[in-house]
Amino acid sequence: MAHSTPTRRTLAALTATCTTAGLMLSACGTSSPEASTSDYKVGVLLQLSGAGSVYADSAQAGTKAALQDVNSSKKAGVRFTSVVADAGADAQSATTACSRLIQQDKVKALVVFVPGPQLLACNTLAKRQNIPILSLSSGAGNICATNLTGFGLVPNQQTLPVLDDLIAQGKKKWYFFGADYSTPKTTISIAKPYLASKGGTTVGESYEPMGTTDYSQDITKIVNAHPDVAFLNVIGNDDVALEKQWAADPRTKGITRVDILLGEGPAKALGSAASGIWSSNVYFSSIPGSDNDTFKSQIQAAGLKDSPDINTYVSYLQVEALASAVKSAGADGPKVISALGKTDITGPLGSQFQIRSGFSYQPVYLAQAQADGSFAIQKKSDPVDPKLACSSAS
Amino acid sequence: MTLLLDVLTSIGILTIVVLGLAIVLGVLDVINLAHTGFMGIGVYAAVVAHEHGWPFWLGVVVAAIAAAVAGLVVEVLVIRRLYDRPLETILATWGISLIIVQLITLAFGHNNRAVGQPLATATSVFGTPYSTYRLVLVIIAAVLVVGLALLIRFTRVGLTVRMIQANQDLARGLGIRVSFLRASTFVVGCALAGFAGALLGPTQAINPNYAVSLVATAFLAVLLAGRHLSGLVLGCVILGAVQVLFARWANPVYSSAVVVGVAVVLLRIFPEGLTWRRA
Repeated sequence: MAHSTPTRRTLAALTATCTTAGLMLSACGTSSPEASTSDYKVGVLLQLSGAGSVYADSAQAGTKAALQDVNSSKKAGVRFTSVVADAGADAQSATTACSRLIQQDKVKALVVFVPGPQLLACNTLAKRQNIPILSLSSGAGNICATNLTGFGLVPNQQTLPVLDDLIAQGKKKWYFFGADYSTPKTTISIAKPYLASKGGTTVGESYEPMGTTDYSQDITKIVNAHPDVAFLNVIGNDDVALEKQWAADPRTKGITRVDILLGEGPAKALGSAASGIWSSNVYFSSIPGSDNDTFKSQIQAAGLKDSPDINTYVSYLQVEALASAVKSAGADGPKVISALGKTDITGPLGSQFQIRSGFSYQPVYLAQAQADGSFAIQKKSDPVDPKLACSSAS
Repeated sequence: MTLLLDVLTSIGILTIVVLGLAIVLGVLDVINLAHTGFMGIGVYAAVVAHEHGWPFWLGVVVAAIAAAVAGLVVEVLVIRRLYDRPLETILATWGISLIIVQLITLAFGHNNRAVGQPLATATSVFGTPYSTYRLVLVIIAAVLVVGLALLIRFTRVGLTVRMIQANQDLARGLGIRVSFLRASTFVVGCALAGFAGALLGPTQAINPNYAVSLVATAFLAVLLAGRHLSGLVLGCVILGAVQVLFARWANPVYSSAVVVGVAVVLLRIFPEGLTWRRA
């Protein structure tokens, strides 16, 4: 074979790079093509690339279904259009995407599905322009701003109901294991004193950094502490790896698992490895009732092949709540922000969804994973007060 | 006993991940940043096999073949033109890894997938019950290392590879088809990556960014290896053991940092890697 010239080699490398860049840029953002100036443009910021992209499909389906519902039922009094942007995997990417949505696309509100650091980065830009941010996450309940509304549960809302239920079952010795990250640490710092106040005992507590792939030594630590319950609070793909390794380890038999961060999609992928895991959240696709059946049909009509999950549900609620606020306040940013703070709508499950002081109040479901990875609903709890880390928004 | 088994399985898993990477670097001087991409191709091939009802172990074979085919395409289209240009191969393989991730995303979506749970039983080792599958991973790692050592030391192929590694111009002058052997080596490295990807599927989250977290320690082990199999094994033993023992006896949060620290110190002392050489 003849030697390639340096130019050809460089060209080949550049071609590979440009192709890559092209593929990456193709995932950067999409917008509704038929938007007009009188429309209310909503920016949708979510992770289309990187590890967080596993949640993108379900969240986008919820947003799309809600936009269709809002527009067909004229719930906002104005037509909603959307622009989607990729927040990437870090705060810098989120800032770039958020800046584009605000400066270039001129969105009037932001619906976001990003972790705390990206949320903070985006909110720095949005707050200056009085653009409301409707977020799944509010960090560990400690990210507060006047223009920010959290639609997901904060740690104590999600944790206390499952603690109550399992303590009532006589499971009093708990081991707390989490990712070395703010939400798990806050969750565990809330759970431990609550457990003690209910007569339970913490037999161990440990953390692993994000990105850990081998949990064998952690599982050994937990098993050696002989707990009744292992409270596993690891995030995203790390959580899937942990649960697979836990289920494959024969020493873990007889220890009840609680994993409130395990989504329905990952649980399905885990299959029998998820069997027996307790979780709690405001939505599971297995919630019985015609309202949920209707919701699922609506989501599937929006193009989601799998069942909806918590991300779908929350993204749907976000757009519906925004429509309610726009209907009552008009398109003006500060007025919409004010109206969002008093949101009181009927959610897709027929129950009342409220926002007070920027955080949500909604019923919490306790569920246990079955052998096929689906969750069976065990109990419905009343809304829990968020007991926020920040009492007043800045 | 459990601690020893944890250390052994950690070393075994690291060895399985590292082998393909080390072969490509050791023989071709190519730092293959697309290694995780080929692991991804492997695990998704195993996912497809699983979804068609094929046995897991057949899926592992399919995974190795799929990654080998992809590796051949990449070698012919890109890598072949960039040998002896380390910086350009780094850039190109990085780009290829991103392309693979995007292609997997387009084909399979963002969601997690499954490959099933083979050997979901316990085996008693001196009275200690332990995951059978993890023990099998240790055995597979040992078989791979021994097989590779025998191949390199006692076969004509091994002799040829060592000759190319030592002096490519001399090998070419002796009539050895260097370009064919380079391509074959890259394909074998990719096949091993696919094989590793499928084998680790039952213990890891399977999504388009598969194995990204696994590869940092793997690159450190390769750097420590010094282009010799003995160094590679020693590197895996040291890093795997440090990771597990520090996590067990100290704060696991810092174990990854300690692994990097140990690797840096060892490279400072042995800049050419951990290899035994006769005086």
